[in-house]
Amino acid sequence: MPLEQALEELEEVVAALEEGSLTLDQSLQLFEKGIRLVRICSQRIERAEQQIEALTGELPPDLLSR
Amino acid sequence: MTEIFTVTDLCTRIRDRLSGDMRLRNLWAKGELSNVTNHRSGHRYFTLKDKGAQISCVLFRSQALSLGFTLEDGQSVQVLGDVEVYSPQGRLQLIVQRIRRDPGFGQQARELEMLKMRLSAEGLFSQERKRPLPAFPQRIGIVTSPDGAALRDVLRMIGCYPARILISPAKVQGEGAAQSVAQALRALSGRADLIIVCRGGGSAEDLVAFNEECVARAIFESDAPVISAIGHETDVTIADFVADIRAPTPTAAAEMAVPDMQSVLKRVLAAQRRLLRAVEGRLDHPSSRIESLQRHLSARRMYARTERDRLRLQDLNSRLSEAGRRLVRDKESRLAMAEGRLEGVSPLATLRRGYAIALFRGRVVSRAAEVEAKERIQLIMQDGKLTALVLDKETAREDER
Repeated sequence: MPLEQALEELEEVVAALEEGSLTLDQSLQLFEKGIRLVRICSQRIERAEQQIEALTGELPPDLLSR
Repeated sequence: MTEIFTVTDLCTRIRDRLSGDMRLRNLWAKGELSNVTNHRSGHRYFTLKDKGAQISCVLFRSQALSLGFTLEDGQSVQVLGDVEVYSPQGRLQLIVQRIRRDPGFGQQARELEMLKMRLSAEGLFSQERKRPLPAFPQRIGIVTSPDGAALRDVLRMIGCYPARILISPAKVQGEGAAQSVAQALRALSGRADLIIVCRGGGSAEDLVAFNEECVARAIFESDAPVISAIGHETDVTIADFVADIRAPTPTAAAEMAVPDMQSVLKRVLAAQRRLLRAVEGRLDHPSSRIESLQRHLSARRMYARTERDRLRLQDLNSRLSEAGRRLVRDKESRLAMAEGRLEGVSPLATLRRGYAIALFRGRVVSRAAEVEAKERIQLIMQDGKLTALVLDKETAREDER
């Protein structure tokens, strides 16, 4: 799941929980989903990796060793 | 044996050869001014150029005094002078004695102006066409020279932002540069959701490729929004007019392209805190099962609850525990008893909806922390009691990092 989508879903989950009109069951389900989304977002941010490639030709070696 | 020149000898020889050629003395040349520099010494340095070539010129102070007009980049002029070799830099230059303004004033500048007008009339610069940049681009295309500092600036600023970076190498100055840039832009078609076109600072001539029509059209036709960062902040090219947004420098372009990861991380952590807070509020208190109280105890209020609220909740907690104990004691009339005792708080309604009250040693369990694995607990259901063995436990707090 892309970071942007995870972040948006997470914020929706939090808003729904804070709104507080859900049953306990629904709340717990949402909470679990929220925690999962937090994990996804954190992983995306912490293990962020750039993938650099050139469409044509060779890239200078200093760019590839980043 | 072959004669080996010192560099000085070589330049001297070239100079002698040129100064002996009368066709290179006292000649008139016409072209456009660029890189006009008014030196402190009073000498004027500038470049005389046309589409195909350029030559350095110097106008010494004594002649500069009688000039009669101000030299400016883009002016078309005719100059009278002698060709010389400036040995310290091994450079050919024109020692100018007189300058007059050319009747065909600023041909290149005028052509540029006409191109601008034509493209503008066609709507290439139109504000309505400008597309918004994606908040979280996943494929960033960069059109620039792979050897330039601009590319390194952009990559440094993008930093650890997770994206696929597609570098579409282009020749950014000199012969064929405009076609190369246009080609590199087209190569990214369908492959990027954001494109940065950039090159570092340079003289006006170095940037001419970005004033060409084919570059303007390639930017206009790009299927992804384009950020342009051409030259220094003061240089504005046609490419900048067509781009969806213009950045003053390559670094600034990269900054516009990606969100700041620190602020994204803050957003995630804030959401996590709110998530835990909202659920803690509900799990901490048996009262959260009592619908009428839910309205008064939003997660936020619970978090900052007053002492009065806390006491009230303790009271409700003990009342609910008491109710639970009664339910266990009196199996025969447990429903009726509970209905009678718990009027107003009505946990039975909750039981009927499928919730259970968990008891451990006769006390209501509201937190996983109160029970250890392998303990036996009782679950009060709407129609009876179950004895359950706790197999495993996992608390919500373990997820907080």
